Amino acid sequence: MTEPIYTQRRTAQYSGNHSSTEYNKRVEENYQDLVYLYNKYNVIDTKLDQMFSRVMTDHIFLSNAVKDSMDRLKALEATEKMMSLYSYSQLTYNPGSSNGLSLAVPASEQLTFNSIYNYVTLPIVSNASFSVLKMYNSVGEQIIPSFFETRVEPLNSIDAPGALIDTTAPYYSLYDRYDRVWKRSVIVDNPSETGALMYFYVRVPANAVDKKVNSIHLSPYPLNSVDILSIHYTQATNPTLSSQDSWKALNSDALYNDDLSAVGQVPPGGWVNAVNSDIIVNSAPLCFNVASLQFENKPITGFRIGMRQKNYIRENNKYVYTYGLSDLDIRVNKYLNTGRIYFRFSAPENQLIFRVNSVTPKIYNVPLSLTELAFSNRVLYPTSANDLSVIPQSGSSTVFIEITLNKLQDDTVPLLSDLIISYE
Amino acid sequence: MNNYFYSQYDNSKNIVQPHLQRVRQRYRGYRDSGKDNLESHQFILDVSILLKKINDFENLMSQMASLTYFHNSASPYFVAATPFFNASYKMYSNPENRVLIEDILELSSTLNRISNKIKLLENQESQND
Repeated sequence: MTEPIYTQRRTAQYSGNHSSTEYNKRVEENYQDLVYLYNKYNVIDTKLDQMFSRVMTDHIFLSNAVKDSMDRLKALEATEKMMSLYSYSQLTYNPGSSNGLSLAVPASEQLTFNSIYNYVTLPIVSNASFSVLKMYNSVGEQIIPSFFETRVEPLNSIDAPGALIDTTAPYYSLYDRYDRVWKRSVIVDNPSETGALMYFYVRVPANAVDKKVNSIHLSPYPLNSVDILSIHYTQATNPTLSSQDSWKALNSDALYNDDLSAVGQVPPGGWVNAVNSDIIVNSAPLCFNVASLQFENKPITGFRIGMRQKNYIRENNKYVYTYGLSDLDIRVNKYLNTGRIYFRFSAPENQLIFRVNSVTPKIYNVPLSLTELAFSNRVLYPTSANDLSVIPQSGSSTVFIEITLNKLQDDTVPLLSDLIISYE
Repeated sequence: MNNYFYSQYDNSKNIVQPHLQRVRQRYRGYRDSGKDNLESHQFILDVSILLKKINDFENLMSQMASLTYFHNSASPYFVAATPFFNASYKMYSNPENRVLIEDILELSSTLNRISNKIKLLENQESQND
């Protein structure tokens, strides 16, 4: 409802207003408007302060609850005599020295860690890596390129032509801004078991297709509620961004077929004859690397992402299914061929690590048979002389694992998502 | 630094009323241009104050949103949390920690990591059975 404005529009004629009553009335109305605005601001001021404090306080303690869950999980792992990666604080490029020689990793060999997408990968050459979708002008402001092209294809009776849709523009998913997300809300009278389904198509800009895109990042919106059903690519010369194009699963090699622990780590839609589904339910931010060599003769020209929202919000007797993306990026990343990093693993309280029996990497974009080429490690035990040694000592509270990652012959860049340590 | 987690008496938090003083005019009599000018100055002052407040609100909203969604504006590497407030907290018997604000995307990612680890442990357990 529009709120009233006290000041009335006046159409004085003949050299203005000659009535003092009218004049006084106008001043009175101005004053009433000001009083109303001041009252409004006093109320908003208090409300905003309270909300700010509440949101931040809840946020802090919620993230503490997550940390607490991590600690409990660590304790569970400890009963199995295993440890894994939990925090970026476990990473270091300089664990100390061995036989008096520094073990520090030179800057050019340092593996890259990404805390949003949770992976460790080869050293990225930042000045040779770029996004093919996110553009910036000369003063650093983000611009949406005119060649950015997407298409949404509704897939079921809920999200169907004619449905009541409240949407922002899909290009909002490109903005590096917290107040811009692409959200598509489907408003229906009755809920559906299947939820709302759609394909989201995005074209790789024509000026970038020969650059060999090799990485796709996406953050579903709302977080942890959207299911990612499939990710496909096309090599059609001029894709129509529809089912008419020839689409292949990004995980066309069906990597880790039917392995439940790989769900969320491999692009969905690629498994064949599997008992388990590779659909990523309630997806977190996702990042997938594409081995560019296998597509070399024909570049990728478009991507298709299958999305589903099964959760709804009920309001005014309507059911609102919201899905979309808060971030989307397709990148050409250049990586060095090899790199190193150290992970610090601390023994659970009142325990010591006498020997590390095995170090198992979780790299889901490299076939298990090639993992040995992509990954190698070395265990370092602190010595009493404040040094590090590959020989197990008589009980250590901390051990360091040196990790080396290598690019594969087909240019596959390994994404290390976890490290499982078994110890005694 | 401002306080965000508690209210403290502050002159800026007073209920503010308009500065405008209404000057009654009678056209067929004495007119004071000084009062007339004062009225218009006060009106401008009031509008300026309101405008500034609106901008302050906008800044506060931006600050809150950027604290929880800062990942694109900060280096995505090695930044797990941003110390922002001049405050600290204590939980259970833990020592005091600085107030760190974690990006919501990062929090979601952490939750994902937890669920993956649970999945691994569950698989391991079912294999042992």
